[in-house]
Amino acid sequence: MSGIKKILVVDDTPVIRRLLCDVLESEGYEIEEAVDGVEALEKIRISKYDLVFCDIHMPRKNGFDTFMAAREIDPSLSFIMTDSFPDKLAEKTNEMGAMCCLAKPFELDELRKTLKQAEQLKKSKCPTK
Amino acid sequence: MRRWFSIASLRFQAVAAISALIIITSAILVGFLIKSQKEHITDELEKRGASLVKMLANNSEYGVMIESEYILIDLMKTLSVERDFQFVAIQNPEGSIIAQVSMFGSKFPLKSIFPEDAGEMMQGKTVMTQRKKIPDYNLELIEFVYPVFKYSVEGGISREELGVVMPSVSDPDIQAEAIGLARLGISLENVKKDISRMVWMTIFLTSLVVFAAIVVTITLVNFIIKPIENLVDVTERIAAGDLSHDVPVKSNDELGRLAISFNKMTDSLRNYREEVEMYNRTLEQKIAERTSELEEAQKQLIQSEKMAAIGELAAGVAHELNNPMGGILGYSQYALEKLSSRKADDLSDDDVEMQCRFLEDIEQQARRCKTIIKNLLKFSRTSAKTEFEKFDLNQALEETLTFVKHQLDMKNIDLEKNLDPNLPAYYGNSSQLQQVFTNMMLNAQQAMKDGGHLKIESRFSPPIGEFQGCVEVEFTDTGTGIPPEILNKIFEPFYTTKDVGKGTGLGLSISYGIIKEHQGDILVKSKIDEGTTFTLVLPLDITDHGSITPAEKQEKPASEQNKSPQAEN
Repeated sequence: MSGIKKILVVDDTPVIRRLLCDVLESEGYEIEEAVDGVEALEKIRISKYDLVFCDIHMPRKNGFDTFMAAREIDPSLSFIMTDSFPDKLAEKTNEMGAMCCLAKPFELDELRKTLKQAEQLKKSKCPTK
Repeated sequence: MRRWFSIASLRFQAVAAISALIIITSAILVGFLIKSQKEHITDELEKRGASLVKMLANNSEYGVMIESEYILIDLMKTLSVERDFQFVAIQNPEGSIIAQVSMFGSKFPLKSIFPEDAGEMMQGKTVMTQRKKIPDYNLELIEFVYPVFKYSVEGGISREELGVVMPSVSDPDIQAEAIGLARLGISLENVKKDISRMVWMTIFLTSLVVFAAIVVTITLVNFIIKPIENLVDVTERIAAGDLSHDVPVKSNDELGRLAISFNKMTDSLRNYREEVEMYNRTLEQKIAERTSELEEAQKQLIQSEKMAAIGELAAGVAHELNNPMGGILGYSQYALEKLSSRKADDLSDDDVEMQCRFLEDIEQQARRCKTIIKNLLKFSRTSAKTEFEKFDLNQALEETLTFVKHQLDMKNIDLEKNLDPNLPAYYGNSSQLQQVFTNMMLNAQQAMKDGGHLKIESRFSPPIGEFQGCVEVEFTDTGTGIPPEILNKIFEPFYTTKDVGKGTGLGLSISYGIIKEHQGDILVKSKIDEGTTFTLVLPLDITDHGSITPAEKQEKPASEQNKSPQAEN
């Protein structure tokens, strides 16, 4: 049914990471987590994910760099970028062609709405899959 | 009083000079007086003696001619009543004594005191006087000698016929033939006594006069000196700074006029001094005003620089706050969803456990928010210079990192903390020192544009001997380094290497000011392309409160709350 099954949650803040995992898990997704961009890229190289929740401000490798690098590994990989600065986030996300963005701190409704949006985008982008 | 005895005083000098003059003049005068008196008395005596001996000689002509002792003694007796009479004798040309009358009787050895050749003495035509001492009789006398002449005029006219009582020997018409020698001895005893009495009387009277003159001199000098002394007194007081006295004006003379003009001078001096004092007072007031304005400006400068830092840190702080806020928001909504979808009875143990975990998360994140906000408020508060307190430097560093950590993370800067757990409590202004730490950390971050390594170290140098001990906080980055030629400029106000609008150029100069306020120093070591080390040296002896005591541990729980979420990061 849904185009998204396996999600990678990348955030350096433990509580946000855990919250995303908790919520998404209860929605029925398969979840894996990474503490920063470097770890995320290692995981992306090994496994196939349908969607990545990626924080922008992270040590070692920030969200945008991770996004660019991940797209090179898997061009079809969908990204939802999360950050505390909504204006800058939306601007930059559009610019880079990432799918969606989610401003922190987010409401659960917003999270679900963004997730739905991402699913639809993914369907329209790749109808064959 | 002291002036009376001071040799240097005008009074003494004047009195001494005038007294000396009086004494010398009187002495000379007395000398002359005594000398002339003495001469006068002696002269009188000699005249008297001469006239007596002449009279005797003249009257003895007949007695000598007939060599009648009886006539002669009768004649001599009239002389013996004379004052000071000692002896009288008449010798013949051969030297034998024809007759004599003496105070000492006939045994008086007249012959022995007449050793002179009577014949020779008879050649003289004037009265001869000679002084003699007769030790056997303790006698000092003056002897008058005059020849006894037999007068005759050519042609044999007798003396009676000449009608002259006392013929002159020098008269060329009269022939005078010496036929004997009259000798009269008059004692000098009384004359001497007279002279001595006269001398003493003169000296006594003169001394009286001298004494009186000196008394008058002293009074006069006093009269003149007193106003001068008053003047000197007042001058001395004025010299010592006491302008409250005037010189009393007692006369219209030169001294009076001097006193008047002196009082005028004191008056204007007093006025000038009052003016100067007034200027001083207003100056002090102005300085105090300016100082407080300056202090206020400095305080505002520090505050605005702090605010600039907060602005720079705002993004990081927002990020720091947003994460726990996100947790709180998400988990509370999630928990609400979970609970509202079921009835309380349906809750399984697992559900309850899960809800508890959500709530714990919420509590923990809310506490984290609280800590961040508390630290931010603490950092941003306007603090007066004097707000010194005891605090834990390590904890202050950790609190500062709360805001700065994010900035460092974003620039891929590894943070290495090497904080000495035995650091003593430091007495200082925690808010201002946190500002310095922030400045150091942000500078390090800006020096490492492409990431790097920041080492933050705190150390304690315990007191040894004179050295009171200090704590050091060191920031070592692996950034671009500072060129040696600008190393001595970096603490200057408004010096910046950043682009226009990027930095105020005040950060380091304010930091330096704050560290100086703590009697400390900032040491810099830098190597191009290798990095820079800033060391803050903070002595422990800035006040009594700076004594070394262990860092207060009561604040520890707060710092632990602060740390625990970070540990999870």
